[in-house]
Formats: sequence, structure tokens, C-alpha cells
Amino acid sequence: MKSNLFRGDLGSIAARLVFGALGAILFLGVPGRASGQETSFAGWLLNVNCNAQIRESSKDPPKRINLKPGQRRPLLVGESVQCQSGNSLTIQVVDGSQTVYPDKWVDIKSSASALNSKSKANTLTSAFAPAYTRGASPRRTIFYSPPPDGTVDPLHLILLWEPHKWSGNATISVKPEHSDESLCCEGSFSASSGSLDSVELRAAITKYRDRGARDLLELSMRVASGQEYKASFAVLTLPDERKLQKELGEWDGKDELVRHLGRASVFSSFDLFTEAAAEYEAALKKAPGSALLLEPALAAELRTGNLPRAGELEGELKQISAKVQ
Amino acid sequence: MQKKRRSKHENTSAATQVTVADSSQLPHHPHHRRFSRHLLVGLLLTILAWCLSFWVENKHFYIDTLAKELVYDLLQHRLGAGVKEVSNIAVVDISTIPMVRTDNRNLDYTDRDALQKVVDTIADQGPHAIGIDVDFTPYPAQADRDDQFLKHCQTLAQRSPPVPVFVTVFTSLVLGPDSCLEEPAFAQFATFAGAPKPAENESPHMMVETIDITYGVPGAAPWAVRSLAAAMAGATVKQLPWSKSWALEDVVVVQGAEFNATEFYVDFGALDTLQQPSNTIPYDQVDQPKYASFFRGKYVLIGRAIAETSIDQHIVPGRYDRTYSGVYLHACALYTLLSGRPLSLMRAPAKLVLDIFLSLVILTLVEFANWVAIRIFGPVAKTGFADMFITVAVLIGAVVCGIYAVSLFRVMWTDSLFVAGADVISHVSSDLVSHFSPNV
Repeated sequence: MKSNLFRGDLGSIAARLVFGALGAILFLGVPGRASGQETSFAGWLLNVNCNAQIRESSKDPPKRINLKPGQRRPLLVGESVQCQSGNSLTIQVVDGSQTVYPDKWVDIKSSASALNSKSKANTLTSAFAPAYTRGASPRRTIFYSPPPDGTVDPLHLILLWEPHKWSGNATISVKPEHSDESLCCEGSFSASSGSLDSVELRAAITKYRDRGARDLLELSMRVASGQEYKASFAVLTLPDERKLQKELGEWDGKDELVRHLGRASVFSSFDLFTEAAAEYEAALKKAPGSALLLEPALAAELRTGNLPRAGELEGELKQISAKVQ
Repeated sequence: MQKKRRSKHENTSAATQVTVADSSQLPHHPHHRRFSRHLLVGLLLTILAWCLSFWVENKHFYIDTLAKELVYDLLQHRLGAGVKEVSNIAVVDISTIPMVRTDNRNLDYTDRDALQKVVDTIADQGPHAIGIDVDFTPYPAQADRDDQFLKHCQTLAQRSPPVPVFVTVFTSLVLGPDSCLEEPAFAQFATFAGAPKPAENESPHMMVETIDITYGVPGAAPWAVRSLAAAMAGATVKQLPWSKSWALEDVVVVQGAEFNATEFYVDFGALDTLQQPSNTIPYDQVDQPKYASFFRGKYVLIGRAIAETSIDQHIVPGRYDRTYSGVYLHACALYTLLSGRPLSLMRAPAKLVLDIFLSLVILTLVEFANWVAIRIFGPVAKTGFADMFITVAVLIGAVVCGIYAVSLFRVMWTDSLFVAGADVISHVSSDLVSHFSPNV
């Protein structure tokens, strides 16, 4: 995207410098969770000649590993393996192989931190950008909140969906995926309103979260025509909520624009895309027409599925581009 | 009779009395001397300008980069002007294919059942090759299903005629052929999916042909992995013979700390055509009767074609108003390889030869114009404006020819604007030297 910027708003060099500085502040100041959250393939677990167990993350309980002779298991960065008893197992990672003997938990780190910064994988990613996909785009949905494949903060959840084209009343239900247990909600409401601010819904999802359940939830809305629309979302866990508040707190007291951008980054790192989009919109109100803000705001609105708003922002970006050309 | 061009000390009243016949009787040796002087000064200034451009090129100055990118964009558009159809490449868009959900959202992956169904439908028609631009890194959640999928690809490769299928991986390649996918036998399907990151302020010009991965024990022979496009095409960009390689560069070897990559210049001219419904088919339509034999003999790329998120989106030279999905980078790379006519960039020695040639053309035309003017109008003829006009016209002609000739010779003369500017300065300087130092 550098070249786009390079060909972009030449007329606002001063503004770019300011926002560039803000970007640098953000880059340096954003807490490390965002990068830590990235999932990376690390290597293989093989030659398991012991009672081995694996922990997918520090907060997950250990699971027993049952591999047949000659079989191997992929390893992800962030996992830990241990030989409880018996002989040994082998970890094959990018930087080499390591034999693990009983009673020692071995953390699978990113290759850079595992051995040295000249990791092969790092040299590859520094020179090349991945040009493949893992699959489909975010599913098209009528819901902006909860965002498709996003996370919601149950204490602040307000349902939002495309407001137009609906007539009559609608009903909603929320249930865990792969379950018939309905968490909410009774009654019907006007579909054309485009939003539902329901205390009952928030209470039901909060209760679900507080009992430690972690399955994704499925929201269904049935409109008067009988058509049903669905959205799947995760719920912010209590530990994550505490982390979120702590990380948001790091931006308190900062300049307003910087605070909005910082909070947007934090929300994005927790997959709270609706909140992130709201922060970018607030930042845009402080600096309207800034191409540097329009781009992330557009991406955030696309992530929430708010295509009408994304279209508006894209139009603004094109206008700026046309002016430059 | 000694007369300097554009001399301020001409006797105009006397000059009006000089006839054309008189001028024909002028001695010739002063013209030769002046021509030699202009030639010498012109060559010196051209070499100086070339040295300057060589220095500027290595410094990657903003303006120099801007000018080169501008010309590169123009050349890419020119390449696209001649592309009306691409009959041997098809893109199957899986933007709406189902995803398999996992506990970790980052590890959700394309439903392999749906993918296999698409591959089978295409394979039954006898395509030349199928390339799947989907991440096959062996993450735990997908490892078992990938294992089945790749075993199925083995059966496709054993058909008669075989249907070669290739999948993309990235960082797991550094584990070597035995470990980059679920089983060592699957290494035949692995291709490199990385796109070279361009330098600052540049758009990506190149794609990888082959990357040599060092793995295992130190000193062991590297593993040469082909890019998706190179594997599908089964072709490589041939190194130019020495008679051309001094002047042109079609393949660049990039050395990293742990790899050597061979990269080639991509012709993005077919991009617009490849995106048309004639070439890009939604995955859920491949089994429709109208596509019953559509994929026969074609190179079929399967990937997400609709650009909606920032993932796997890339900028392309000359098209900065939007981004393009990675599958189209591979498609353009494939198009370049299949065309058998790779793009070349002009090397520094060739630029010097071209600069000198242009200078000679300009100098010869200017001197010829002077000679004609003196013959017609006598020694008082003033040709300063004509000189500049000829200089600029030749340079514009050279740049325009360079742009139009790109589809003919496939040579990207990216610093033509800089050379043109340098030549104008060179000839103006030459004139100034002649003017102020007539006896030099």
C-alpha cells in the first residue's frame, strides 16, 4: 500500500507527517497482544517414545498425545509439550530439532525468539508477502453488530443490522453453536428499526459468559416474511475483558485523536470490530477527509459487514485520489 | 567564413547580402571542426549524464523512482492494450466457499470437501494443470483433512493423462521437503506462494520463479521450490545468451540469508482480461453445463478472487485505485511464463549505448539542419530554436517508440524520462559551451 500512499494525497504532506507520527506512536505503543495473537505454524512433534502431553496455551489444560509409530503432529507457536514419563520425544522446528526428556515443559516459541533473529522463516517473511488465502471472505450478513466472525462485549452489546427493506416485526434467538439451548429472547420488535438495545439479551449473554462457556454463539433473526438471518460470534471472556480494560487504560489521558486510534487498535486485537469501527469513526470526526484515517476506517467497516458505510468511505477515498491525479 | 551558431555578434546587414550561391562556396573544414567539437562535448556530457543517472539509480531518489514507476506503469498499460483474450488460463473464484470452523478463528480453513469436489469436476475435463492458491500449511486443525486431500491429488497425478495439482505453502517450506506438508510424498505438490516485497515507493514488478531453500544440516544441498505459476507452467524463464545479457536483464537472483530466489518480471497486461467472467468462474458454477468442457487443456487457478478484506491483497503496477487478490498475481505470472516471452529490463551498459546513440542521432540531425539552413539562408541562419526542437522531437520520438515497442521487444526502458531530461540538458550544455567558448 506504500505506493498508493506515495501516489496519494500529495497536497496534505503536513497532515501525513502528523499522522505518520501518530502511526509511529501507535506502532510503538500498542500493547503486544495483537502480535501475540497471531497463529503460526512452528514445526512438528515426532518420535514420541514417552507419555507425552501438550498444552495449547498457558491457560488450557494439558492433553495427552497419542501418536502411532511414525506419526507426527503439527506444532503451533504458543503450545507447550512435555514428556511425563518414559523415554523422549523430538520437536522439529524451523531452526532445527530438539529432543525433549521427561519432566520438562518445552514452550514452542516463534522461531525468532526461539533461537536467533536470523531465522529462516523470518528471512522469508521479510522478503516476501504471502500471496494465498485461507479461504472465504467474511460471510455476508445483515448484521453489523455482532460483526461476522467477531467478538462481542456482552455488557455493551447492541444489535445492529441493515435498517432498510424490512417491514413488520421480527423475532430473535441466541444459542450456542451446535446446541439447541436458547439463551434469549422473548417477544418481537420492529425489524425496520435496524437496532435492538435489549437488557435481556445482554444479561443472557453475560450469564453465559460468566459460567465459563466458550462456545461460539449463533444469533438468528426471523423477519415477517419468514426469512431467517444468522450471525456467529464469540463472547469476550472475563480474563480478556480484564486485559482489555487494562490495555484501553494505557490510552487514557492521551491526545484525543491518538486515543481513538489506540483504542481502535486494542479493540481490533480482541476482535471487537464494532467497537474498533466506532473508534475510527470518532477519529474521522476529529480529522475529516484524512486518507490515512479513511483507509483503516474502511477496513474496519468492511470487517463489521457495514457495507453501506464502507461504500461511503470508499467513495471519499476515491475522491481524494481523483483530486490528486 | 567562420560563423558560430547563435552568435550574438553577427553582422545582420551584411548577412542579408549573402546569397545561397555564396554559401555553397564556403570551405568545409570549419564545419568538420565544429561537428567534431560538438561530438566530443556531446559524448562527454552524455557519459557524464549516464554516470549521474547510474549514481541516482543506486540512491533510489524519490523523483527518479517516481519517473521510473510512471514509465513502468505506462509500459504495463501498453502491454495490456494488445490482450483481447486469454484462452489458456482460468481462475476459479472460491470467495464464497464454506469454511471449516475451528476453536481458533485464525485456523479456520477452506472446506476441503468442497474444494475436492471443485478439483474433481475440473480434473474430469482434462486441464493442463490445477493450482490451488489456498494455504496448505499443516496446521493441526486441518492436517488430517489435508492428508486425505493430498492423497487424492496423488491419484489425480497418476491418472492417464495425469492431472498435476499444486498447492501453496509459505513459511513451512523452510522445514524442507519432508516436513513442509503432512507427508514427505506430498512435497511434489508444494509450491511457494510468496510475492516479492517491492522496495519503498515501488510497486511489485516481479514474481518468484524458483526459490532455493536451505534446510537440514549445514552445507546440505538446498531444495529448489518452484512458485505456483512456475510449477503449473512447467517452464522457466531462460537466461539470456551473453550476446543479450550484457544489455538486458530478464531474471534476477535475489540472495537472502537462508535462500536464493530467482525472480522474473511479470507482464500484468492480461490482468483486466483475466478478471472478466470469460476467465473467472465462481466455484459453484464449474459443474454447470455451459462449462462442461471449459477447463479442458487449461491452466486452472483456484483461489479467492474478490477483494473485500486486506488479507491477500496486492497492488499492481499502473492500477493504484484498488488492490488485487493474490490469485491474480499468480495468474499474471503464469501468463508471462506461458507466453514464452519474458519481460526484460535494460542494464546500465545498454542504457549508455542507447544514450550515446540518441546523442549521435540528435547531433547529426542538428548539424544537418544547420548545414541545410546555411545552404538556404546563408551563414546568418539562426538555428537555435530548430536545434532545440529537433532535440526534443527526437527524444519524445525515442520515448514514444520505447513505449510502443515494449509489446514488440518486451524491453522495459524505465529510465527513459530521466535519459530524455539528461539529453536535453546535455545538448543545451553543449550549445552553451560552444557559445561561450568558440575556440575550444
